[in-house]
Amino acid sequence: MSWSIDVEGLSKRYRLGRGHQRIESLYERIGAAASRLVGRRAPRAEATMPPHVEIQSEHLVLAESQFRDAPPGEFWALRDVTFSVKQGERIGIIGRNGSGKSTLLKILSRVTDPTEGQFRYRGRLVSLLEIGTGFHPDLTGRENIFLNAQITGMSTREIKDIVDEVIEFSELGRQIDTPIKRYSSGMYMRLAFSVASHVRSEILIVDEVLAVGDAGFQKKCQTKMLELGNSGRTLLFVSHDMTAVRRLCSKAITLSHGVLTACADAGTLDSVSEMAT
Amino acid sequence: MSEITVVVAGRRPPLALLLRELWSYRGLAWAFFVRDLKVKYFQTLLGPLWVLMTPLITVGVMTFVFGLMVRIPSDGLPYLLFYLVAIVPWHAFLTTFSMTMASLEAHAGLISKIYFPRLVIGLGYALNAIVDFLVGFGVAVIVAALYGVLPFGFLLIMPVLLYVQVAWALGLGFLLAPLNAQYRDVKHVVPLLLQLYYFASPILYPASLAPSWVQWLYTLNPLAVVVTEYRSQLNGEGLHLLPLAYAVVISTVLLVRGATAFMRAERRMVDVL
Repeated sequence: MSWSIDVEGLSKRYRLGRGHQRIESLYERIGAAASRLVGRRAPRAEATMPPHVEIQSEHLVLAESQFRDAPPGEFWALRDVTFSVKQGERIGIIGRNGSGKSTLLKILSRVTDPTEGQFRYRGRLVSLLEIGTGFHPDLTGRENIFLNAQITGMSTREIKDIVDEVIEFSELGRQIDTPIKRYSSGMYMRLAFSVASHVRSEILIVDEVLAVGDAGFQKKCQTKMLELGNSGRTLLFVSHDMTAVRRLCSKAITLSHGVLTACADAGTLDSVSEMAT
Repeated sequence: MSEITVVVAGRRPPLALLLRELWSYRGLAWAFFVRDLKVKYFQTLLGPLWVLMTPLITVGVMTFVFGLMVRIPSDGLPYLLFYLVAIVPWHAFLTTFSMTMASLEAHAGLISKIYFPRLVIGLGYALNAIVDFLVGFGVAVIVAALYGVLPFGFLLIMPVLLYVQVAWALGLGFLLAPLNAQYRDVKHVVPLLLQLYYFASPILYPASLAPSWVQWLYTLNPLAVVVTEYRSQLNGEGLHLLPLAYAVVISTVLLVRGATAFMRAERRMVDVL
């Protein structure tokens, strides 16, 4: 089987403190320019360094290693991550809070640019990062299906082909023509998953959506996801839930403090999860 | 075999790729347009009637204050018509520009979650403003017919002037949107500048009233050209080709410049929002 996603030495650096990256107010910039004119150096880097606090804790969100080789006031959210995913594989991504899972997904879904490294993927990539991203509360379920599918890059004709299937899968019945602000969060989630799982994409990224919804629908989602993998679609599944990952995924990747710590078969996940926690 | 996408750190994606992507997402601009159209009058009693009400109320007030009380010269046009052909383009310009400028901020939740060419948000706003404009223009045509002044040129020049006005608003909006996302200062300055621009454009008064030494400003301001051209067409004058050519060129250059700057900047925006 051929590769589907190929990641090489991916790194992302963020700034500590108030801004994510190099955000300065116009005022700061003018101030810096003025002090440069006068011949003084702007004391910016020092000012943004947070005070060093010694905390003894089992798991700090940020490790010392993440500051290595980074300019003052910045840290590596992701450092030199390399892996490859074959077509039709279902990969679980595991890691604690702040280990770089979301950053990795954001880079892969092209929401943000990597600081270093590169990656390539084959076909269309759709990420289901958060329930109902891009849903509009005033629109009906049906209208939101169109809007959401369109945001993922489908054409109107493609959407018309799948819309009945989506509605049937969501089991929302006649509620589909109700504005979704009147939906319960479970119904909301059903709609979101139904759209995403029917979107025509070669690669699907799922970030902990299965945590919501009733047991019956959760089971249906898992079956659907297994089915997607079998039909040749690649799946990236991010979760804290080891059982779900073990049940769904063929391989698993663990991240810790922005570094890839393990890449193994899901069968040997027990030892893998040991390392992650 | 399906297409391969390559992303390399620090390398700008080529413009050709961005344009191809923009084209493949054209349906999304339409979807945003439909969404905003549906949402705009959701849970209102009067619904689409508001498209008519908003300009009519403004024009009514202006006709009363500046027409009946101040008696500003109107190049011989009835005041109602004089203000209608100024307010309708101005409103379309204002909504397109300010919505586009705020588009990144307003869609921060979406932008930080999923990738699509962010330019389509602005295009959706422009489509919406065009609909509002066309309704307002329809009213102007009816009013003109009632007054018995409806030259053919007035209808014929509309598509050109509409293009100028949309390109001008979008270009400015695209140019300022990344700046607005990064520096919240922009939000404080722009309303002030817009107010100044409102008075610098011949909306409340005819351009002919301005002293000769500032006339060149009215030639270089595309919105001023738009309003002045509508008025002179209603008066049955011939086309003012030179100002029209200036307006088309200036607004086109700004649109292209704004859109490219926007596409270059949009990749950084997520980390800044």
